[in-house]
Amino acid sequence: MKRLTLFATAMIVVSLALVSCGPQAPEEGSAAPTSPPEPATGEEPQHGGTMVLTYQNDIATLDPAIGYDWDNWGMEKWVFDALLDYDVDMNMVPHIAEMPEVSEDGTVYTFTLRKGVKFHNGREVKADDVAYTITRVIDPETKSPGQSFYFTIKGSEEFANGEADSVEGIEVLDDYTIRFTLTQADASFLNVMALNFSFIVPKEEVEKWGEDFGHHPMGTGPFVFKEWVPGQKLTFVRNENYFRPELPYLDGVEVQIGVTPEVALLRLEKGEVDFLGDGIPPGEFVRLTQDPAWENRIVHAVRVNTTHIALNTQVSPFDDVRVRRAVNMAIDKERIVQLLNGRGKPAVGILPPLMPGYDPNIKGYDYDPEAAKELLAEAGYPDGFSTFIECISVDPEPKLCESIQSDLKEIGIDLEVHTLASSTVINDAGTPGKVPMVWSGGLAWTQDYPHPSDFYGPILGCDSAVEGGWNWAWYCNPELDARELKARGMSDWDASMKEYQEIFQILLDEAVWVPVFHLEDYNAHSDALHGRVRDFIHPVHDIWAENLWKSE
Amino acid sequence: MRTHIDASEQPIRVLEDADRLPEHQSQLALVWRRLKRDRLALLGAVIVALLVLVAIFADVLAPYDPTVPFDDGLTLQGMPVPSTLPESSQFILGSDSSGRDLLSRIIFGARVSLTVGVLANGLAVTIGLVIGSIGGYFRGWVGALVMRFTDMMMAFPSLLLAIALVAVLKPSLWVIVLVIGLVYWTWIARVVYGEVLSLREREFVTAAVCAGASAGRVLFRHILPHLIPTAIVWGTLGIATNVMLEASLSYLGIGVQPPTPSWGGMIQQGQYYYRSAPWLILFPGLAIMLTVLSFNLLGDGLRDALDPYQRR
Repeated sequence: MKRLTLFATAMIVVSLALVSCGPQAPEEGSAAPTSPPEPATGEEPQHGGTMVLTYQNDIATLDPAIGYDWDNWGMEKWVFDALLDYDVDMNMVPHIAEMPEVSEDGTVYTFTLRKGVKFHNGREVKADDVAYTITRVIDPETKSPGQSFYFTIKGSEEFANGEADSVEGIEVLDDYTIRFTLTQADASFLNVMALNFSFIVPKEEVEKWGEDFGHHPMGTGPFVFKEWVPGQKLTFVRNENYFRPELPYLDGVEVQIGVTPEVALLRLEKGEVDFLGDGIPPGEFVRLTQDPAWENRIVHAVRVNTTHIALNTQVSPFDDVRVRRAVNMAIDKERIVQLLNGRGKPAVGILPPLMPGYDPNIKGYDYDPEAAKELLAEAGYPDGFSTFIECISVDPEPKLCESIQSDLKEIGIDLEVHTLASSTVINDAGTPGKVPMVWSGGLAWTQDYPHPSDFYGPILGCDSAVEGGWNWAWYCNPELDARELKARGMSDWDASMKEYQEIFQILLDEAVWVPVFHLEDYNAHSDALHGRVRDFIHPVHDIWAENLWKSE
Repeated sequence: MRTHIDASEQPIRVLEDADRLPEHQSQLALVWRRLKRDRLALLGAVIVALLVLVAIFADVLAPYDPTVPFDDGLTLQGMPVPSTLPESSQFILGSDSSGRDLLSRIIFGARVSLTVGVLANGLAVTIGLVIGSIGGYFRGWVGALVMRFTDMMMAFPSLLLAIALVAVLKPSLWVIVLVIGLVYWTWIARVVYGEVLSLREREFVTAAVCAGASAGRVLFRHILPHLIPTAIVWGTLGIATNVMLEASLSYLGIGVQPPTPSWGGMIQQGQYYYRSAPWLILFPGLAIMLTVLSFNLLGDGLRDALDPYQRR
């Protein structure tokens, strides 16, 4: 028996050794490949087919007033619609409503709704529904992370503080007309009306499900939510009564949960999966991008994103700006981008290059561990300290966090890496005083709309430094808030952008984040699934399923 | 009184020197002789000794600090580097997915695996001996209670129990040792229980009880020495299982925390590169296999050598 065991072992060892001698590391070409050309036009979209999509972590919620992470953002667009939308080139276009009439001073917006738009339960959308939806987002009971986007609406802050019973600035004029009055001009207001938080929800369904509405979403969108088996799958089917009758092309979407990026890729190669929710894993990236068979099936777009470490300014020792600056100087950003197969650009400031208000000359922090150690000693930590970072468990985020861990070890900081599911990290980070450092990889922060206020309000403003908010640095600077509000109201675009540049320089000086890189998205889709690059990776809608179609 | 015994008449054979009742020295000599003859057990013993040496002298043997990533540990596109032999001896086994030297990590991983394996097993054997003896010795409800408790603990799937315990306490080396020890003692307890059940019927126990020895004294001074062979065998065989258990926990991400190298953890990180860099899984896997195999061989050999019913 023992001899047999030994023989079997020897055989296994030999065969394993033979296997490993096969594929060596592939030849090194240049860094990240350029994007493939757009698919030939003249291909007519066909109706039919179901798209299969995979994610490792379960979706947190599909309630558009609450959901704010990468996974659910695009999905909400399948089920809901807002008054306005973007086209493929990021121009604002009418959607459930016509483009609004705006008053001379920019404070009054009057929207006329399209007639005949129906919720999935058959009821027509009226102006009352719009009023209900927006009020709900501002309602403190909802705890919406997007609440602060609406604070330029007259009476919204009073309603949020409990001083008023309703929002004064929201007026229903008749069944199909609604008017918003603002306290000042707001250059981002139209963008806000196209945001996920403004997706119109039916009152009766929200009241029926209460807090569980996020697991039973119903809107007006191109797909109807059918079922959600927690931890396993979500199913959506075509909305036959969609107000744009030619859309969507697909018969439905099936989302499989609990599939790691590697297994998802295997299934994609076998044709069982159409698209990878978590993207191409770094272990396979080089092989895939160098394989000619995959050339037409890899899509690539630069995300308007800054992946960063959020430093909790309310938790010691990150309440000391010197410690925050030291951490900024200790991180080897080039290395982290390298670990990601070069799929990104090291970041200096908080705003990404494609965002208006981006300052190419912003003064940031160079990689300088020696200077970091000195600064740390000056702050009273010559021997460093211990702390922890929360990181999601989807490959490759834990590996990137380990790189941060070894960077901080160089300057004497003992960092524990806690890898958790996305919804847990979001929850923990939004709980006051709980998490000292958060790695935003796989979660945040990508533009919701092309205006720099999007990178201020929800993540760095005082109003979002609340339980359930996304201001994970818990940073609150009321003077800066006032300054940002003023900048948003300026009619001179250039002057406004200059103000924003200064505001973000101040934030960088305060070192509330460590901006690490701006992500470049790479994904692969099946042969059968078609669409423009922007349908696969839309700057704000992520996976724009209504425009995708399948051939057989 | 007869002084001469005629061998041909007696049904009991005459005691010869070598078979005289155990004086420690000759028992050991007997065991050692049997072991020496068992080639596979010797092989196991040698490999175990080597592993222990590697673990102890890891600092000296490993070319680099296992937690330090290197700039040339990654290709331009962020992939791990295969073995640099024969051109250079920088990365003898290649680098891992974060650019650290694989050989150094394997060597230091031996430290974690063996420490956990030996300590956790020691804990398990101790607990198992105590509980099994109590269960086997005391008649009535004490014994029954103890053994039913053991059965209950045994019914729990061990990996799930380990996961649940680690979730409550934070994962660290000592917590893992504790957890594995707390999960693994049941098997030993059962075996000890069976042995003690038969041992307590022996005359020397009756004699001790008659002489007024307390239960504790009987257990400790009289029964326990007979359990030593069992303890040794389980002590060795159990290490293999515990090394696997530690590797499983690290693979699931709840074992030893990064960047401390653990073979199971290395497999977990290397799994994403199974196609592009299979050496990341191959080498830690081989290490685990070698460790488990050698402890098993040694343990089997010890069990055969210590078996009192062996005639060889």
